[in-house]
Formats: sequence, structure tokens, C-alpha cells
Amino acid sequence: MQFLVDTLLNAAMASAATALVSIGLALIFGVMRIENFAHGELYMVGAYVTWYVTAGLGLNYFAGLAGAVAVTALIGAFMEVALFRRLRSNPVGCLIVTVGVLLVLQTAMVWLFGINSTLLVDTPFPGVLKLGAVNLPWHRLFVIFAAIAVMGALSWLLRGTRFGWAIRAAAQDREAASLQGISIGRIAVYAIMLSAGLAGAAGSLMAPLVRISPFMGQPIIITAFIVVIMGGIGSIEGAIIASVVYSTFYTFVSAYIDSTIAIIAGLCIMLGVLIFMPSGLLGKAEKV
Amino acid sequence: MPRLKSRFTRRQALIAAGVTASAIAMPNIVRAADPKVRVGALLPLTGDLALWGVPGRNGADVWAARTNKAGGVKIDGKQHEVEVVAFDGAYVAEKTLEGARSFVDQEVAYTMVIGGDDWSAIQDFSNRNKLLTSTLYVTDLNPDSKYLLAPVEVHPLYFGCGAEYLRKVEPDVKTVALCAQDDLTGRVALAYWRAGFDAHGFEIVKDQYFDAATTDFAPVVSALLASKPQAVCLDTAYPSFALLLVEQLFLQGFKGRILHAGLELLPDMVKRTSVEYMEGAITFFPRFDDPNINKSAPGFPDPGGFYADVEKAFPGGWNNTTWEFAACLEVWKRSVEAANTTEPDALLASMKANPPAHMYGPAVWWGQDLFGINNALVGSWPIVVVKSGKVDIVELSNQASWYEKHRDLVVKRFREENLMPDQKK
Repeated sequence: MQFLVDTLLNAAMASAATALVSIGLALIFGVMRIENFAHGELYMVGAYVTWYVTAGLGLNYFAGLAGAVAVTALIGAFMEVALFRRLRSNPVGCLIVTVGVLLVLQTAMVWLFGINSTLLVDTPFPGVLKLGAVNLPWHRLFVIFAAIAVMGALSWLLRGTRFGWAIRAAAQDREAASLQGISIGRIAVYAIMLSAGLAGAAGSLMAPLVRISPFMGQPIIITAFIVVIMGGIGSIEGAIIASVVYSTFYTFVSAYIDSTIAIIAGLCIMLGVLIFMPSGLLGKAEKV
Repeated sequence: MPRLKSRFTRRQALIAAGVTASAIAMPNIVRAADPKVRVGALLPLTGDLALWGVPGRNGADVWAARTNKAGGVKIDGKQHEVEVVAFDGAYVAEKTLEGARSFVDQEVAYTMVIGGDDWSAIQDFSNRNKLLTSTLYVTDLNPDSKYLLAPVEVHPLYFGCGAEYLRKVEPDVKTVALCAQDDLTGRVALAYWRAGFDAHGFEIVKDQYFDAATTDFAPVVSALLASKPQAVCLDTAYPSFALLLVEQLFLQGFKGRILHAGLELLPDMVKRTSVEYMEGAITFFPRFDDPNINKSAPGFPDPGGFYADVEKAFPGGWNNTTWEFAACLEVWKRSVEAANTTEPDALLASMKANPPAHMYGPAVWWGQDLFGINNALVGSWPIVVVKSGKVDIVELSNQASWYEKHRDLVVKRFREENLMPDQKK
């Protein structure tokens, strides 16, 4: 029973972190039609900024979280203004640029902080909540609640504000949105800042729980792409549902069988979904 | 402007040039007259494994400085100064091979590598050029690695003694759970641990590999603890993995003994758990400011003084590779002085005929059974236990005699993982 509860908690936390990263990826694809391979590196930068602000500058964890969101959002804005805008009519060029940004960010972190993967971020919520024989680490509960709060705020932003309507309009039909007076350029900047900030927030939330290294973005981006494809490319709701399905499945296979098998099994579940639902869980089929 | 008329004749100019050139060349001529022997640190000084390469080179530099101060290496009655030549192989095959080539050009007598991929890159080159090399990975040994030695650490042989020690201090512990990353280092080590636990009456209740790309270790630890183990063995999980595993053991309420190869990040483990939590954890790499180190390591001159010199030269840069590469050099120095030569074939023959002292005492050449070649120098090895947040040497164990006693169990467990020399083909 205890093992089941532990695994359910781990699955909930993995789902929360994966969803934060994946919805950013889905958002940027929906609005800008860009597959951002550097998204995992923005997650990595979020973790590094948190470490730097807490261990380097001696500020508290929440300053680190705010710093991570701010820095990654600014990197996102730079990517749109300096790189993607010039290549808007060239999707392959955009894709190559994201790989370039990925390498630059990795190398920058190696140059700035070294390869040392023993950087530690202290959690503001140490210890565990004891419920009978079950230990629930406070930071894991915090990650779950923080992710739910962020996703709730994002949902309100997208559905309850003019800014959100503009983003959704641009995602549905750029030309029509433009004819309605929506500045696609400005919306693209805001959307990528939002997307990058979500990745930064995820990196910051996970920093006290994982290894911080220049290459920590790679596993998460693979997972995020699996999730986005499974959920239906560009669908934020699909990304959230797929995050929960994939992460729960992955965590249970890891815990009950083996983590190497879990990676293969995760890919199989994605293929299974695509066989029966070629557009993903909530994706829309496009007529060609 | 009036032109200055030079009083310098052409002959005088030529003489002056000759004298200047001679003066510049003189120190080199003088230096060339000094007998010198070069050793090579072919290590990753940048990249992923610089964490091991840089402290290794620093340790070699300090060892060379101390050795030269004490008179250098005596060969055929003459004292030779030791010079450490370093090359950044970056753990990249092409760069490592380039380094090996440059070492041959510079007549380097002995090369040190971390082992694994960097040795694979130069094995053929080493055979063709008789590049006598030391590795920290005993698993690099194979019948074709003629000029490769594992002269210090014979990982995972000390694990058998670790299981024996656990039985001694915890007679009531019956069950143990094991885990390691799914790679060669993890598999070889876990196979040896299993043999150790078999030999000393432990029941292995959970035994699992985790993927090397794992970032969240909570599910791994939940699975270990679901089997209700009384001891948990983290095998040779890499330092950052081990840190997160220990933290999860703490958070998920495990209260028994923890065993791990190195506990390299013990200070961070203590910070994330507590001094009390880490008390009694068993590992195998001593600290060199341990009051017992000089007594425990008779094959290394003044280990405590060496540690102090390294800390002075490279504050905070101490690492296990710092002393392991220096210990490789010490074995080589003793062998060269015994053989009176640095010529690889003659030196190897002499070393094999008269095994040099190992860092932790007398030693024998070993390895034929598991690796197909007797190029590993096996002696005693310390068992260390965490006390008040630091590791203390508690005893020296005899790895070779443990292996001889439990050889069949080791072979059985190695065979299960397809690790025996005949299975590798």
C-alpha cells in the first residue's frame, strides 16, 4: 500500500513537471508553428538561475524562482526578435536555429559554471509530511500544487483575458487574427516569453530534486516531445492530459519493473495512441 | 635628419649574433644534460570528466615535485628528475589518440589514463608503440591489453570484503536491496556485490538497474524500499546519482545501513540528510587527513604530507583521483628502481617477477580469471565507515584472499551478466 501511495505521489509530481514543460512547447508550436528544440535548455537555464540566485547571491528560493522565469522569458524574447522573426517563412530554418540555441545555451552553462553536476539547490520546504506509514516530501507536494496553480493561471489567462483570446486567435488562424487587428509579431513575443517562462519555472521547481547539469534538458525535451505528439501537436489541453497519462505510466513501469524498460514502454504507448488516434489525444486532423 | 653611422662591422655583427644564439641555447643544452624521465597524464582536463582529470593531473604534479625534492627516480645508479607531461584528451577518442602520439614523440615512459573510453581509443596504438599505461578501470584489462596495468584500484574486488564487514557489524541483518546505473561499471560492480552478499548469508530482496538518464530517483528508491530491506547497497552509482538516492532514502524513511563505493559527495549528503543519518554508512575510499592514513598506506610515502601539499597547492581541489594517479606513479617508480630501466618489456617482466608493493601493502598480480590477463595489482584495500560526518578507516581487507575463498560465487554472478572473458567474444 505504501509503495502504491509513494508511486502515485511520484507520478503526480512527474506529471506536474512534464506538463509545465510540455504546455510551453505546445503553446509555441500552436502560435508560431515552431518546434523549439531549445525548450529543454530553457528548463536547464531555469535550474541554473535558481542555483545562482540562491547559492551564489544568497537570496531565497522564491527570488530564484522569479529570476528563473524572468531570465528564461527574456531569452525567449531574444529568440523571437533576433532569430525567428527573420525566418518566419522558413520553418526548417527556425528548426535549425533552435538546435543552434540549444548548443549555445549548453556551452554557455559549461563555460560559466563548468561540467560539475553537483550544484545543489536547497528546498524551502525540507522534510516530509507523515501520513501513517507514508512519507510525503513537502517539496514534491509543493511542485504539484505550484504546477496546478500555474496551469490554472494559464487557463484563466488564455480563456478569460483579451490577451489570451488574441493568443488563441493567432494559434487558430494567423491571417484572420491579423485582419482583426491583432499584431502577430507582438503576440509571438508574448507567447514565446510565456512558453520559455514556463520552462524556466519548471526547471526552478525541479532544481532541488534533480541533478543540475548543462545536459539536464535533454531527457525532459524528449519526454516533452513525446507528450506533445501524444496530446496532439499544438493542443495545450492535450499536452496536459498526455503529461498525466505518460508520466503516470512511466513512473509505474519504472517503480514496478525497470526504468530502462519504462523508456521503451513510454515510446510504445505513444505509438499506440498514434495508431488509434493519428492526430493525438486532442489534436485536430488537417485536410491536405 | 643626419644619418647615424654604425661602428659595427659585419664580422662583429656575426660574432655578436653567434654569442647571443649560444647564450639563448645554453640553458637547453644544460637542461639536456640533466637526466630526466617523463611521465604522461593523458586525462580529460576539459569536458564531462574534467572533474576526475584535473585533480588527477594536480596530484601527479604534486607527487613529481615531492619525488624530485627527495632525489627523483634512481635508474642504473643515476638520479633522474621526473617531469609530468599533460595532454587534454577530453575523453574524446581522436584527442586521446593525438595525445598518445605526442607522448611517443616526447619519449614519455609511462602514461596514465582514467580508463574506459580513453583506453579503448589507444589500445591498438599502445600495443604497437609499447606505451606502458595505467588505468583506474580494471575492466579495461583483456588479453590484448599487453601494456596496460591496473596498479592501484581493482574495482570491484573490495566489495566482497565490504559484504563481509557488514556481516561482522550487523549480524542480525538478513535482507539487502541493490541498485546501480545500467552500464558496464554498474553491472560489473553489482555482480561482485551479489557474490559478496551470497557469500555472507544475505538475502537479496530487490536488485535493480536504473537508466543512466534518470533524473528523479524517487521511483527507484520507492521500489527498493517496497522490498523492506535492512541494508541498501548503492553499488558504484555515480556521485550525483548517489547523492539523490541517499536523499530519497532519507525522505522515504529508510533507517538501515547504506553501502556505496565512494560516497564522494558525503558533505552534501550530510547537508541534505543529517550527520546522524549518514552514521555507519560503509564505503571504500579513505580521506587523507585521517589520522590512520600513514599507518594504513605503507606503499605511499607520507600520504598525510601529500594531502597537505595538494591542499596547499590546489585548495579544495582534492578528489580520489588526486591520490590514485599519484599512487600509480609510486608503483611505477618502485618498479623502475627495481628493474633499473624504463624500457617497457624489461620493466613489465621485472614487475611481474617481483610484484611491487601496493599502496596498501604487499600485493600480487591478478586478473586472469575475470579479465583474461594478470595485469591487476591486488593488495589490501581499506574499508571506511562514516563517523560524525566524515569517513574513518576501520580496517584493511585482503581482496585477493576474499576472491580466492569465494571465486565460484563471483564467477557464477559474472556469468549471469555475460561478463566472463569467454562470454565477451
